[in-house]
Amino acid sequence: MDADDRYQAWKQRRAAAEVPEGFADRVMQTVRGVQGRQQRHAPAGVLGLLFSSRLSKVAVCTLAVAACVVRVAAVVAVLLPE
Amino acid sequence: MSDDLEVIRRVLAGEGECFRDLVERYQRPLFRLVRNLLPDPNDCADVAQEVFLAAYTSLGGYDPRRAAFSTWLFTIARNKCWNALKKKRPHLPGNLPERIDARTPEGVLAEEELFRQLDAALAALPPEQRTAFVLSEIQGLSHEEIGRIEGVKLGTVKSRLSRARDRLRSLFQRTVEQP
Repeated sequence: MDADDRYQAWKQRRAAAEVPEGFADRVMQTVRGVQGRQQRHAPAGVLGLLFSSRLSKVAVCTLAVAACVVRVAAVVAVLLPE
Repeated sequence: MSDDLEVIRRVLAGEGECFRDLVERYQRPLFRLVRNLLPDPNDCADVAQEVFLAAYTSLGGYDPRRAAFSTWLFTIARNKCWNALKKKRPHLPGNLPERIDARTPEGVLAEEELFRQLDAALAALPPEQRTAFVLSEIQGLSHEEIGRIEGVKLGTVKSRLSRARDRLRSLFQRTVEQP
């Protein structure tokens, strides 16, 4: 076996890392634990629906800002002379 | 790739058990990567598990337009390994052995010793060179993919790879050329 063959053999040995038995099962067990925690902490009903996606979150925030601006404008309007 | 996207879509839609498909598809290359980036084999299973868990919890943030799922997963793995390395021990650059001692019995034992010292030499490479070497030579990824994982330009990948190869090759050559 020449030098290059031995170098390649070393690399092949490094590449032959074996996955421990039952590894996927252990990962899925942890994933289920996370899923369970997420479900317990997820807001229920309308709130859950509102915060279920990024788009709905943006929509809720936009509405809240718009309502705030309208309210501030109403207060300022009271102070302004007619 | 499109198969990965379908699985991801189902997981995000609430079918958490579909994540097993991704685990089974990528556990071998991921384990190979983690095993080659971490010096202690005992840490590998825990870190690989952390990688999959992190992928699961941040799956919603994965953008298929930016990279393949495997590239995204390997990026998480690379970051987890680097964090584990930082916690484990301070990095000591230039810790390569001067030369491999080949004065071992002929045959299998000599080769075992050679491999063992090459392993030590790989472990002693600076993390960025070691990562580039492992991703390229052991994982078989392209320079572009490595650049995306490492967050560096193509030229940087090539130079890190070249330095890593030079150091390992020269160490190896010195050994095999010994009388």
